[in-house]
Amino acid sequence: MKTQIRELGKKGQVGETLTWIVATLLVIILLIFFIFGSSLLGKTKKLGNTFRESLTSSQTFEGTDPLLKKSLFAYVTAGSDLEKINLDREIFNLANRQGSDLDYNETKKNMILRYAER
Amino acid sequence: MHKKRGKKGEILVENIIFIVLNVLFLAILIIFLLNQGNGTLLLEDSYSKEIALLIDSAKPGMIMTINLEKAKEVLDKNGISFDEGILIKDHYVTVKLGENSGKSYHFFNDIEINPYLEKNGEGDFTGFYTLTFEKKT
Amino acid sequence: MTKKISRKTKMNKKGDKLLSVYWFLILVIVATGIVLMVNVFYGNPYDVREIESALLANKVADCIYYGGEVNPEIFSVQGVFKESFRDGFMEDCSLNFDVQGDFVQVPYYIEVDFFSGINSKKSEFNITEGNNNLKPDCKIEVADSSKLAKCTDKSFFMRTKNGGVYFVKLLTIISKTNENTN
Repeated sequence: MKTQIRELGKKGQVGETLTWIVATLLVIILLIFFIFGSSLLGKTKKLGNTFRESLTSSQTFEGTDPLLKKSLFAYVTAGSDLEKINLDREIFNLANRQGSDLDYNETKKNMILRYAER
Repeated sequence: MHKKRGKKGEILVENIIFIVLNVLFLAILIIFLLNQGNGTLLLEDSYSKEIALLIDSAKPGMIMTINLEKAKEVLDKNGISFDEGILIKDHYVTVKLGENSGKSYHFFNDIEINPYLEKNGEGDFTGFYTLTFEKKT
Repeated sequence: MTKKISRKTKMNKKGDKLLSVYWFLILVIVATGIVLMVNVFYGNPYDVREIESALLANKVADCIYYGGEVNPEIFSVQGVFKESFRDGFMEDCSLNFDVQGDFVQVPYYIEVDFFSGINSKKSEFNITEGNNNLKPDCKIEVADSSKLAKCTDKSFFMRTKNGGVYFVKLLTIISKTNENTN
């Protein structure tokens, strides 16, 4: 009886210690993973051109690309229809390359409304 | 019987001490984390760059008012006057919120800048920083 | 029976004390990990070079062509490019690239090319200012480009007083790696 109890007691102690060792290792591995994740997240503290004006209000529309507006002014003041067609195509391709193609139609409409009489 | 009662008392005190220590530890950790987010170095970095970029985008005739209340709080804590914490000179914006710290950032816009630090009725700085821009003569 | 119980309780007490030590060891490890994470994250400065490069491009573009009008310093009455515009470009466009420090390289570069007409491939007039050693950084492709300079390529069309159209290409580069990266 005495020896049985002693054996049972020892198994309990070994079980506890092993659990803690495994738990410690797991905690350390998780921490290394999270520290690595923080360093990656830290490197993404880049500030880019994320600001976009609202495209819904026609009265206060400004567009997000001021250079697109410059190009479209050249389009609006074109002398001939052929020049207009060529400029339209080239400016659209340019807007595509520079990532402002989503603004293109809205900006073009506003530029025409504003400057067509000139 | 007496021995059993004594053991119950010991377990309760031990547990209370254990819980109190844990709560204390967590509290210290949370205070430390919150302080890091509002840290001097982080604010100096972000304010110097923010002001420099605002100056870069400015045109003559513009007036810009910047809210630097957070910076003023840190300056007050460190015993530095608000007008000594921010300096614009020789195309550099320098933000110094601590005795032994400071960040400078260069701006490329060659423009005349007139800074004005707002004061309240009692003559104390409000934390608002106004910049007026004119063409350089 | 009583003897068995007292042995078990003695064993449990030893376990409790060991558990407390392990528990605080885990707390210390976790706390150290959290402090490291916070320092790694907040230790990285903000990188504003993309915005700065775009601002520089917009400023140069506004200097050349603003409100539908070409800068009168660019063309002569005969419609020819003026060399004086290239010489006085920095002053005319209110730009200053002077940085402090004895051996500090200029962290900016601007290149402007003017192409006559809509489809021309040949640059008629070229302006460069700043540190041209930064230009190769625009062509290097690496996984982590944070240590390289940030380049912005922008173009637009402009109409002169004579009715002619020019295609203007702008390249602006900002280095400033010390202030924007770790």
